[in-house]
Amino acid sequence: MPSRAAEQPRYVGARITRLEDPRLITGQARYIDDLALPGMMHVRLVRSELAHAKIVSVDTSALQDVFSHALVFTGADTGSLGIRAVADLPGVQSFTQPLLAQGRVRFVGEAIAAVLTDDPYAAEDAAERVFVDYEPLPVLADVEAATATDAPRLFDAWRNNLFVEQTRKGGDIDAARSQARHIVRRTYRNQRQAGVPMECRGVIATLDSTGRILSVWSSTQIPHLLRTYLAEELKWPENQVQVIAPEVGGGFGVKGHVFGEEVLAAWLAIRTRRPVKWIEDRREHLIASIHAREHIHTLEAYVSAEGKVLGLKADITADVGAYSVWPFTAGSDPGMVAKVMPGPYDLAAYEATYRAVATNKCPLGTYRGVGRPAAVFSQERLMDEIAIELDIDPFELRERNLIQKFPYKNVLGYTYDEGSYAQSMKKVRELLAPDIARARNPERPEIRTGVGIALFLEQTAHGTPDFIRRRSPIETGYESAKVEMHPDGKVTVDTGVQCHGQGHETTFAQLVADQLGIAPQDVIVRHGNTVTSPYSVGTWGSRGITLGGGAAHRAAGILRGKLIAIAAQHLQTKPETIELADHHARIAGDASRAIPISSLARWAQRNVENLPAGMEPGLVAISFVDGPPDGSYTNAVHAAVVDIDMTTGGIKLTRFVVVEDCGTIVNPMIVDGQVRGGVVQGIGSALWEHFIYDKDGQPLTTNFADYLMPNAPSLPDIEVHHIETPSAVTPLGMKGLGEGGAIGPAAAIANAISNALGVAIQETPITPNRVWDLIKSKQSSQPQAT
Amino acid sequence: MKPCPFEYMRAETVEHACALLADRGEEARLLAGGQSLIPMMNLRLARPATLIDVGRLPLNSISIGARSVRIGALTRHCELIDSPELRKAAPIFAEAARYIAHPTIRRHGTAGGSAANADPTAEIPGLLSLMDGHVEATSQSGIRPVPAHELFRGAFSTSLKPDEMITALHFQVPAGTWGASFLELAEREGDFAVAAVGAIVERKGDRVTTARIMLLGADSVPVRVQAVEASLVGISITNSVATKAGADAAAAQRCYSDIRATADYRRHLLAEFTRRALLCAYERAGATA
Amino acid sequence: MKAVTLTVNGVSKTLTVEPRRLLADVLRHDFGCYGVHFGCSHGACGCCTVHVNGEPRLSCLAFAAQCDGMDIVTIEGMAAGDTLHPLQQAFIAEHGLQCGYCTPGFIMALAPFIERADEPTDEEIRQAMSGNICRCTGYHSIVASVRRAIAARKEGADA
Repeated sequence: MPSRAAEQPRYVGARITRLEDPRLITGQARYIDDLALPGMMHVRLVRSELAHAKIVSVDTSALQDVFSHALVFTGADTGSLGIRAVADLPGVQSFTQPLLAQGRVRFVGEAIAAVLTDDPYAAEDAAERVFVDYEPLPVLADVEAATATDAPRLFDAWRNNLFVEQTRKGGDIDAARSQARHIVRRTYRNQRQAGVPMECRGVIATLDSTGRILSVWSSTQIPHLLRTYLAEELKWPENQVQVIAPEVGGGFGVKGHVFGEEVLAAWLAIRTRRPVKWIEDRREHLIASIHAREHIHTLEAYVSAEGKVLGLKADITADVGAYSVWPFTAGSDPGMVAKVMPGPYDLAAYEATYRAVATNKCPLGTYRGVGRPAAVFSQERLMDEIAIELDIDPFELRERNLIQKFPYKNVLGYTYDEGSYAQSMKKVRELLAPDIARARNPERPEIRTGVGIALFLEQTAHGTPDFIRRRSPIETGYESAKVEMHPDGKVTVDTGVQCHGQGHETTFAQLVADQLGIAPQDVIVRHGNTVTSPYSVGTWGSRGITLGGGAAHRAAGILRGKLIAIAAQHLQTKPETIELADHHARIAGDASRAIPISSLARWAQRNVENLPAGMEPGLVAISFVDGPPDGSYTNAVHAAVVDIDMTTGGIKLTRFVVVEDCGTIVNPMIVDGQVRGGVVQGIGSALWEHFIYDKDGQPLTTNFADYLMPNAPSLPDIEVHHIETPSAVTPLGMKGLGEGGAIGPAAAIANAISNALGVAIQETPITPNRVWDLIKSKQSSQPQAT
Repeated sequence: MKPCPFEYMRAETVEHACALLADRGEEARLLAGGQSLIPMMNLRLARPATLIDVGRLPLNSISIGARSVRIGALTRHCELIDSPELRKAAPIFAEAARYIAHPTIRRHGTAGGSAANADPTAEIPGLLSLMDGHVEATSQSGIRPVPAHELFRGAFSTSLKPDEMITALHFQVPAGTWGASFLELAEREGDFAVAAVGAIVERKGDRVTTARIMLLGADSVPVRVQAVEASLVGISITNSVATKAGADAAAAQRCYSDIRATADYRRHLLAEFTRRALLCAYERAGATA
Repeated sequence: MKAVTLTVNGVSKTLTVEPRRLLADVLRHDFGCYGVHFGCSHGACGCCTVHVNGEPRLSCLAFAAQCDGMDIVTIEGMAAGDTLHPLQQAFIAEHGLQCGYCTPGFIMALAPFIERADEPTDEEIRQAMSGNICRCTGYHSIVASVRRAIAARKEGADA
């Protein structure tokens, strides 16, 4: 019997160009700053100039002398409103980040007052006439200062300066230690970064003329979560709040938070009964959105004589800044490290203690990779160090430790679905053969070549159980889609997943077109709008295509069943014999007996007398798809080749290779784009991007001349190779891939540079200055050859 | 990031610009290409009450003489790269200008603007210093030549008077056969220099007749190392000579530490770039002989 | 306030503007060219690149008052009717954009380059876009887009 599943997909797997591109390429897309409402006021925030201070007074008296129409609000007006982000874990300490400071500021950039005028230029002028009188408090500039025994408390009622400290373990770590022939202990650090989408944040809010409906447009990745938060915090019925994400100019996790500014704009719209707009500038973005990374890890590996890692102990500290972020909370980044450190290796014993330390810096949030770039940096540097200590080839060492059989239950109890760990490493090894040979036989003594690899897993499409374990306000992991076929056979998909560059308007259309026998061009995908889309938790966590796309695939499948049932009745055949293709329902193998899909669509809605007896009219279906309990695991190997100028420390990245396996690929062009973009962000982490504070908590890298983004001439092409191992636990076998690119580069590049120099890199970013310092320290520690 | 209000005046002639400057004095700033001033204004770190736009004045000529190059103050960085005559007569201009930011910015920024801005790591001030240059400081009282070593007083600080504007930059080139080299290290392409070195070597046969070495990153202004320059006269530049010259040139430099680099690293780069630049300039001088 | 006449994508208008208004703001709000994007407002990202008198300039680094009488082209003026500029076509074909925010700036910065570069090296292509920051693509596909646009131009010239 012919199976419907046996039909070849026409569009899934095809490299088709993006349906959203025409408006983007012609300047017709409309981002948040391109929108305006009549009578709109522009908000400028007065932000703290000090990292830690008591606010003695906020003097707004000079404002109205000059700007008679300006409005100004301070913490006295917004009171206890704020961002409450608490994980329900034992020992967690919490504090609400106020919308506007309540008598104390805890990082440079914290909002103190909001000034509103009718023009953004005038708003900046007016904000300069608000005078804040500070009384400085001792600054907790880093983890060392904040965890010193006599450290002052950032929050008066706290026991210490830790948001959270937890231990996760599995297996018998003491046994592993006692069986070990080698104990390899290392400490690794990575730097504070910013996520930096090219479009900064922004929000517009307005109350309708009835005073009931609160409409909020925000450059956000999570419109539904923002709606829920606004409803809860402002005590506004959720059916009277609508949130719309217009075109969003990049997010990378930064815009996957609910921010005080969004709540404030909504509150101001209610309070003033005027539309209000707040557009973040680049300096504000760099100092006061969210930051990322800044970890210290101490790892201890217990290794057998043969190079098998028997156990791993990890101590993980993150400097998470002044407040906890919603919905992921302050423990998200170090907690992720503790969860994923076992990686692709077969590890019998593991114990990790992680802590999130409060300091006088911008709050730490989720940025592409979330903890995993740091975890993989430490883990993969450690694997290379073990290889050196045991004098085993680094590929060989990894081979001895890699997981080979699937599904695999890891030491913490997470089940990994099918992957291609060993196969992808083998492929990378083949690809790198000429570079490895070149590194061994340098042509010029002053230039050293180094090759480095990093293996990793990316847990994607996490299901609800994974979020329950975290006990954070995210709470759930499903995604949604509504698919509607109109009477002319054209289709609208409304998904709660929000698209800010990932190409969902194309890939979701590919998935739906295959189900319904139509073309992607017949499908419009709408997103980012709580008015039209079913509930969703938004786009983050490498889950858009798997869960959102999976929901679109399933909802379209419901319509498909209905179309086939109608067609079967009219063709007087069994449903199993019907196929949908080329805009027709037809009997497989008999082209003469076909009905246009547009006819079926019309019957279902306009001529319902044509429907089979008892069938409900209409062609709309909604599907909610939860992720697998432990997610689906994408795997990849990254490899870097560097040339080091041994006299200047200059670093040239000459080659970067990715072999990745994200299961079923919907659109290879888009997958390559996601991988390459992520890789370059990871290269930025490795080499340039560093958000620096001085000892007083003053930020030193507040513009693009000082915060160094990867630019084109500093980069090589990024080679991407695919292996497709479909997942058994997701729709169509798709796995997520959005973050993976950013996870491996710091580790691969650090390994490459370490191999070139013969000195261990233990910290990023790896600047020429740092490389030169290492070369110099090696030279001074070795006797000169005579 | 929107600038403060200011009064805008467009200068129609150099005389007009000088009259406006004389009238407005210290509260006015000249606007040329806007490469540095407008970002500072957008960040509200610069708040001039008056902007005198000199952008349309006809000051973008490049004239090449036997022993000097005169660059009009409004010559844009891209023109230093694109001018075939300049590339032939003194390729060091293009070599150095390529380190200035990016192609689009090089269409904004001007030679005179860069000299007046006196960024401690900027290439144009470095070239002025390297090539024993001077600027024409023009005011209602006339034209006052200000040599590079008097012009640059410190980071973003010059000896220009409030009523003066730079109308041209003059650079001296050796009379004989010479070569030059400009080397720079920045964290990414186009960034502010961590350190840079320019060198010019004039030679007769294998012997150096004059040498000039200029360091950026050693101090808050471009630095010349005359003692080292003098030590090279009359000898050939070999690797060991260049290495010693580099070490000597850098050793005396205080250098500075900042978020980009330590003083030690800067000193090391200055030594190494001096070595490389001298060897390269010497070889190029030989090639033109 | 100052009277300023600008010709934007072929349309001339005389406006009265505050001298401090950045060209980018005037293009956006007075000419409706919302494809001109602010990415940094300090001349370091290229998102606001437009053509002023035929060459790429940053519209966050210019006051509208400075540009009185000048001819300006923005991304909105790049297509000829329904036919996209070759670079726009190439960006679509090579996936040279993701979120699209930086894209108008890249197109405007690179349009003159594809006219004059015949067989550029990768390094030359990357140099040509060195003042533009893209956070999404990693630049690889933008390099490919430039190559495709140059090839299309040469093919068109041969035909």
